[in-house]
Amino acid sequence: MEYSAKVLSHFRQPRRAGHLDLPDEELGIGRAGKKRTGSDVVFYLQIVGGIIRDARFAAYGCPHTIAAASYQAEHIIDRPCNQAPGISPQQLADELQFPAEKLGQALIVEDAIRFAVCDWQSRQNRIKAKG
Amino acid sequence: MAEIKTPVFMDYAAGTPADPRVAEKLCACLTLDGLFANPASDSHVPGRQAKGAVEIARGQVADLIGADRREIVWTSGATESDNLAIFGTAHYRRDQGRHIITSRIEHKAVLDTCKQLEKEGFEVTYLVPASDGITSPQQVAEAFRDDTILVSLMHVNNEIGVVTDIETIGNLCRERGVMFHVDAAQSVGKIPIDLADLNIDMMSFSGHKIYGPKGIGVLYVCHQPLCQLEPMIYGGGHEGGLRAGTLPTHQIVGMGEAYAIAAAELESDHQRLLALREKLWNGISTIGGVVLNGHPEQRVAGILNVSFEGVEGESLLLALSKLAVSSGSACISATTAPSYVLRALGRDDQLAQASIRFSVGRFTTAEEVDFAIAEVCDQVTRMRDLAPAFAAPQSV
Repeated sequence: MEYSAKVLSHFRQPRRAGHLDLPDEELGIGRAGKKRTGSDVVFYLQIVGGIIRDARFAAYGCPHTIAAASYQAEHIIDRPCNQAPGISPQQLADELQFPAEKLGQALIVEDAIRFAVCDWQSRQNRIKAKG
Repeated sequence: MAEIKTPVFMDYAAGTPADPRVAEKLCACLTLDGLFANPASDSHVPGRQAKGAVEIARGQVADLIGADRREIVWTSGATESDNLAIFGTAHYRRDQGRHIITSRIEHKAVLDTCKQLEKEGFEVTYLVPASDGITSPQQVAEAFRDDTILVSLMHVNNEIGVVTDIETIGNLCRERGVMFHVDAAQSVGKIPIDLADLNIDMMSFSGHKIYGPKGIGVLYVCHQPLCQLEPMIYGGGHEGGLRAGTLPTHQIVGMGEAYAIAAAELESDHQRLLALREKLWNGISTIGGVVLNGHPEQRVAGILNVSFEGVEGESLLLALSKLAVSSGSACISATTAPSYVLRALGRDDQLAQASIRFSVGRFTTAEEVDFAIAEVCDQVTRMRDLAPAFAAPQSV
């Protein structure tokens, strides 16, 4: 398979790979995909006042999965969390020149980010409920 | 350490570079001052000279495998040889029976040919090898039917390098009067073959697996007892009527020279490749989570097939782009299909997909193996570090 220069760049030097260790009120963790189906992506978001202040990811998958996660992690900082990820899977696939059959990898990454925002909101609700 | 030229070539099982000694002989057959003439043109001296060169090469191939030179039929490669052996036998013996035995881990040249014969009304038994990749003589014996006409098995598996006991299986076939075909593309020149002592009716070979040119191969067709086939290509009655077509003198001379060199250097090549393969295995297995595919001892020296736990196959192959190796996975547009050979051995999808076949050869150096070990250890560790920890939460 041929890979675009941007996919190769993100695959070889992933941006913001790793995890965040933060207090509950600032942290959201989302996971999408399954290892047995070939892609498993986890996003860690730091959200303060509804704004994404930091992001890290871990990914198991093909080069397009890793590149998609890396690209979103790099571009998600300072966005309002209710608009995350901000870059649609189709925009990402266009920007990184994915072949059509790899659009699904961008969708998995989007899911992981959305689940991370949901997780942050759940934590907020739990904190409020505890008073 | 001397500078390593990348990508380091470790895909000798797919195709070898021509030995410079082969290239020299081959080139001498192309131009006006060489053996360019059609070897079928026996009306003039250049034609007869070309034919002489073809016959010398025929003898060189026969000598390496313990055959009579009249049992050597030139083809375009092992794929055509496999087709000729299987179609040729099935069509010639269709009135005697319609059952064929092969295995699930054969080369596609055999499997696809058998699939085609199934469409023609033949029945094929696909033996499932043990988890170490070995197809046993007992499995063959148990699969025989009264209408079995052919057994086709490979000598050395092209993906995992395991060696089939063709001597015992040949004896079983001969006792029952069943034809036995062996694809020896991966074994010839690497382990000794003496067809004079084996009950094998047909054996397939190619030039480009042992430092000869591509586009040339051989089907050995036993004369004692006589193995009869229906040809696939008509038009001139070349090769005893079994394979029509102008003989490519340059490729034939190249293949002959490659086989002559292999005969002289087989033992020293074997010892060197064995040492390199063991060095490679000992080096990369230090990172842990590395699974050897295939029987640990009953395998050819130059092939090492391993699966890596915790990494994805397509990413693994791209991460190892400084090495020219092949993956157990074949990228088929949207999906990355796991190796059918490793799936037949019972490997799960992840391990079957995240497999790499390293194959070293005559020009591989110890420094290149050191480079490959370092590269594999670095990249596999990097991919594993990038992957989610098992304890990370599962949202969906």
